[in-house]
Amino acid sequence: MTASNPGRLDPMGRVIMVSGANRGIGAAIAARLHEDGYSLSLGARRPDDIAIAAGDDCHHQAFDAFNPASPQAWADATVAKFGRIDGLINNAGIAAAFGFEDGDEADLDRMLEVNLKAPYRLIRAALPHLKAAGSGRIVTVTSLAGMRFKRGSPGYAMSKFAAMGLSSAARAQFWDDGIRVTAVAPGPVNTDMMPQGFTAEPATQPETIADIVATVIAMPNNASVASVPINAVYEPLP
Amino acid sequence: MSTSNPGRLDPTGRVIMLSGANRGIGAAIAARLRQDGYSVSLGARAPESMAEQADERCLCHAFDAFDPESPQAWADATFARFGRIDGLINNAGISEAFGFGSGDEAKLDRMLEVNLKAPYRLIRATLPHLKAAGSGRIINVTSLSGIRYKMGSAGYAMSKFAANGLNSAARAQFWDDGIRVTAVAPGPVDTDIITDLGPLKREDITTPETVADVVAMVLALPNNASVATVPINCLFDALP
Repeated sequence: MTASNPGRLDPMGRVIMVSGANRGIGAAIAARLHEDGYSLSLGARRPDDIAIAAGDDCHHQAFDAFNPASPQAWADATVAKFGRIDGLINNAGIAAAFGFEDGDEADLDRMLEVNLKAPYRLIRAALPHLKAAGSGRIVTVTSLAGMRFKRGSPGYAMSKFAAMGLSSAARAQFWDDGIRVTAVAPGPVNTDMMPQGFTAEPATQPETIADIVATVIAMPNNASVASVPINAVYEPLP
Repeated sequence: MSTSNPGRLDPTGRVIMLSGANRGIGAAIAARLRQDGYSVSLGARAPESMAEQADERCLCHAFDAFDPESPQAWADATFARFGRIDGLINNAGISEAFGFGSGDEAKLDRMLEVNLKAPYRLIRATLPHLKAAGSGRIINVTSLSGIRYKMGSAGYAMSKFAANGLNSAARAQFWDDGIRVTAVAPGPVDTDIITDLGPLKREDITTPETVADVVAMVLALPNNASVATVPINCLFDALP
């Protein structure tokens, strides 16, 4: 480790946007990044629910994943406050039942909107600033259901596979701009989004996901992980 | 987060064995684990080079990857000293030129001995203690060369593919014993094992300290959150 090649990025002064920061995994990520010393721009449909107080190092933003104009407004507000964007954590997501023999395509469309299109739009809105940063970071919280279908909603799996594709494409296209892109892919997590039939014990804790996100986001440009699949129960692949 | 289901394991009192701890990635892992509060058992061919680190939370022990008896002796000494073994980090490795057009099979055998068989023997020697721990951890420092061949020694790739197979098998077989097994697979790392950077600059390649951060993160994951493999890219790779 040398001054010109540090083993870890310094969080001080780095500005990170986190979507869905008011609860579950997003709230745990926000708490951990705040503890690490990042400046945060936290988006939620109801920003009043965000636990970390707004202030010099924390911006609250009403973010509506169903509104195509909301990502640009959030990115603009972040730059207006902090003058830079170093990282984007695409965390907000929804799950709804959608199968082959039953299923309302409106539910599929809703999942595609929140789990795929809103992350795409946020990347697009933050991109000039992430490029300017020289070490921009994009972490997308996807799912094991985005790598293999096991059970649950096929529509959710489709939307999360698509989000993995988004992560993979962004990783390739912006590597030369110093942007590093990672998909963090948990199975069941102990939040109120946990599917029925899972008990708390084999589920992963939101705080554990936050530890992984914190490690990934501090990795320098010369060390990047494409995806981190997290198993709560044994699986041969992935 | 409840006390019965914490998001992170507490390092205090946990005993971790680490091979090849005297230099490169191993030295960086040792420093990070000590900082985190683990007790460590550091193995190296010449443990006297680490003697100044020895204290009540650090045992420095001889480990010779070419000696089939060495893993058991080291595990026994670790258990005798601390009364438990919670984790094993198979870090020691070697690289030698071995290709298709040329190549002395003695070199392949040496790589298989250090990169595959010694880690296997260390797992075997520590297994009763890792099972007893209830949350035993095995981390194998493998390589991107163990996932896809890109350049360098074909024999090294073969030995590291084999090490990833060892990782996969151990992960499956001991899951129900609470043991979680992870391969951390870097590309080129800024250590003296790298003699020729080719077109790369030093700042292009991963530092040992970053690999140590990844190992520390993996080591603290609870039983309900485990990652099979962490491939670390310093250059863009479409796969993995």
